[in-house]
Amino acid sequence: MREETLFSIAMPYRQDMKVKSFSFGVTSDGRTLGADGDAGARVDEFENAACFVAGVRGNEIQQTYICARIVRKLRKLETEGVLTPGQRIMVVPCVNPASMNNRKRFWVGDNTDVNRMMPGYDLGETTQRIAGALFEHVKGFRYGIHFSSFYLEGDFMDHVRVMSGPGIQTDNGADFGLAYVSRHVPGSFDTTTLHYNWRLWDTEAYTLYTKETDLVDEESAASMVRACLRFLDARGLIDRPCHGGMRATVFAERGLTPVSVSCGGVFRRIAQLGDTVSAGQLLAEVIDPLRGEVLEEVRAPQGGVVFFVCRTPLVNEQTLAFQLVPRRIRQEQLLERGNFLDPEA
Amino acid sequence: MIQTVSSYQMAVDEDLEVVKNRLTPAGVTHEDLEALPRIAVVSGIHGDELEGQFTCYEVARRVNEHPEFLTGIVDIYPALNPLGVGALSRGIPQFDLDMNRVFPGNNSASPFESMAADIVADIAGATISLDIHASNVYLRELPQIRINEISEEALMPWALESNVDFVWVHGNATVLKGTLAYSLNDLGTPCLVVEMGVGMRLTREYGEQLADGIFNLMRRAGIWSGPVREVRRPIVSSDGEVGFVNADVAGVFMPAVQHNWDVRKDQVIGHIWDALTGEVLQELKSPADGLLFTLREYPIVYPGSLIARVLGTETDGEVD
Repeated sequence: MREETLFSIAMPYRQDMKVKSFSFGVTSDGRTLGADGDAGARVDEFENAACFVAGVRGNEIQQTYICARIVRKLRKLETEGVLTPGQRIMVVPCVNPASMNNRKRFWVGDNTDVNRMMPGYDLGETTQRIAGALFEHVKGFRYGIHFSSFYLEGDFMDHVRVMSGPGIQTDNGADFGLAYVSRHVPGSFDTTTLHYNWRLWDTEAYTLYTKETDLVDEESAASMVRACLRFLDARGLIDRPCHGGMRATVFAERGLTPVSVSCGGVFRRIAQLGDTVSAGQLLAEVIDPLRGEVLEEVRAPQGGVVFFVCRTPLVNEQTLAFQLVPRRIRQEQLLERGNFLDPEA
Repeated sequence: MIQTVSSYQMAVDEDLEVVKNRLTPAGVTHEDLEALPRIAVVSGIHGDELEGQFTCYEVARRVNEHPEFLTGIVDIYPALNPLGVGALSRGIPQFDLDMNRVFPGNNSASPFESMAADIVADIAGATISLDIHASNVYLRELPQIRINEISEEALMPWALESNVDFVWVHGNATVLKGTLAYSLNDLGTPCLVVEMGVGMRLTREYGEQLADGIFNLMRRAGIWSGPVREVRRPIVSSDGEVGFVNADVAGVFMPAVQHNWDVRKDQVIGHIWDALTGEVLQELKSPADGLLFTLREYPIVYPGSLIARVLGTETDGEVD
């Protein structure tokens, strides 16, 4: 394993923020990245095969934790000699440790979002520089996997998100063996994300969403680590027996069934993540926060699987409470491609 | 008349309301109002930008003082993000979400996206609208209007009459499509983005300057028949004429010049200190001769923090 500080940025009244990477690779004659002396191999002896990135936002703790577990696992696999020779796998577990130490989602200095600054600019503002420095190191990999999160406060089923677009076949998100793959038609707001820019620079990109963000969920983390090993195995980057995981259901993101509340109050959820629900089934109640009366019974408009569930104890009118993967996937929505290079066109 | 533009129930016994003050000429029937020209004066999308508060007040005050001159509709929306304005929060407090990235909104996604859609629907069709911002807490700005180059033809005649110091025509690539202004212009409702002053503060002089410009626009639009003050001719510039000064180190910035000064190329703009050691970490110089229209107000800086912007000495495309 080769541990490297990809870049650092000076901080006022605290230590420099160092963004670290961990690279794994062995050569066909048995030398290893990062090993000492004759046993060591140089980075330029490897093809840049797969790159994992997490912690672009400071509250993406579960995402960083998953990458840390991947680092530990890859280190073990490297020792066991099951990495495919000549292929480099790099992990960047935390792009934004300064914000993470502040327990803050966006950049500590100005509250901007590093994942809205890609591919960055080395002479720009701070988060543009962070994005630029990161992208310089992570572009050019064949496969890019970003552990990210949504702004909605709630729990998601573990899933892979792929962006429709030209050039690269991304339907292979199913190779992670997770239960769901969502297909996303890019909009203008996507053009400054890591995923989009990886795709623009010919990396086969995937974004992985996990149940938690600012809390660690061991079960979900373990599931994600297994999914990533399964993907590496499917791409021929490791040679290790992996179980097949699940046969993924692929759906268009806009085909999710939204279920919103129609009044404000205390949100009492009844349906749980992953539950299969029928049309009309009670999913949650909204309770009057002063009188204790049930203001609304939130029911499923159609059958499906609970994919997202709101976690906040208080909801406003129209808060998105659930998203359901409908029982019947509309195949015509999966054919929608959008316009990758000009999403607004 | 105070009207509710958008209302959604919050969790505990309160509605989240976006309100506006609609000022109309006396004696006009409801049906006739539809045919009248209309101006929308908008502020408070970012809860920490308060400069528009004085402009809104001043426009309402002057109309109330001389209602006999009103020949069209004036809609004043001082706080599109009421929770943020009240709580010193730039974004929408519950989500830390930038409201100026959710337009044109969607009438089902979330209450805040629905609010955005309600706001766009309410302003759409105005003869002219202004979205008044105050930079942010980090930078102080001269009164200026920023225009997307694809809207230049439609907006420039209005911008030139709005009594700002200059008009900055942005390249299309730098334009953010989730903004209120982009959404309104896309619908064919002209919307000028005003930046002036600094976050969390009021600059009376700028507020009065812009109010003068708004009355000039109202007169041109047939909304105001009263006297208006003569407006200044703004400098017009494109991206290529603006020079940027960014910090390369972390520390404490102290300016050596004042905002709105004419500076010379290589003139010292300020220094970044290390307050712990007493060292000067970086001396910052102007990249060009020109007007220092942006200057950092908030002293703590990181590598990359914007310190100043200098407008080169070209006006209306010609060198002085």
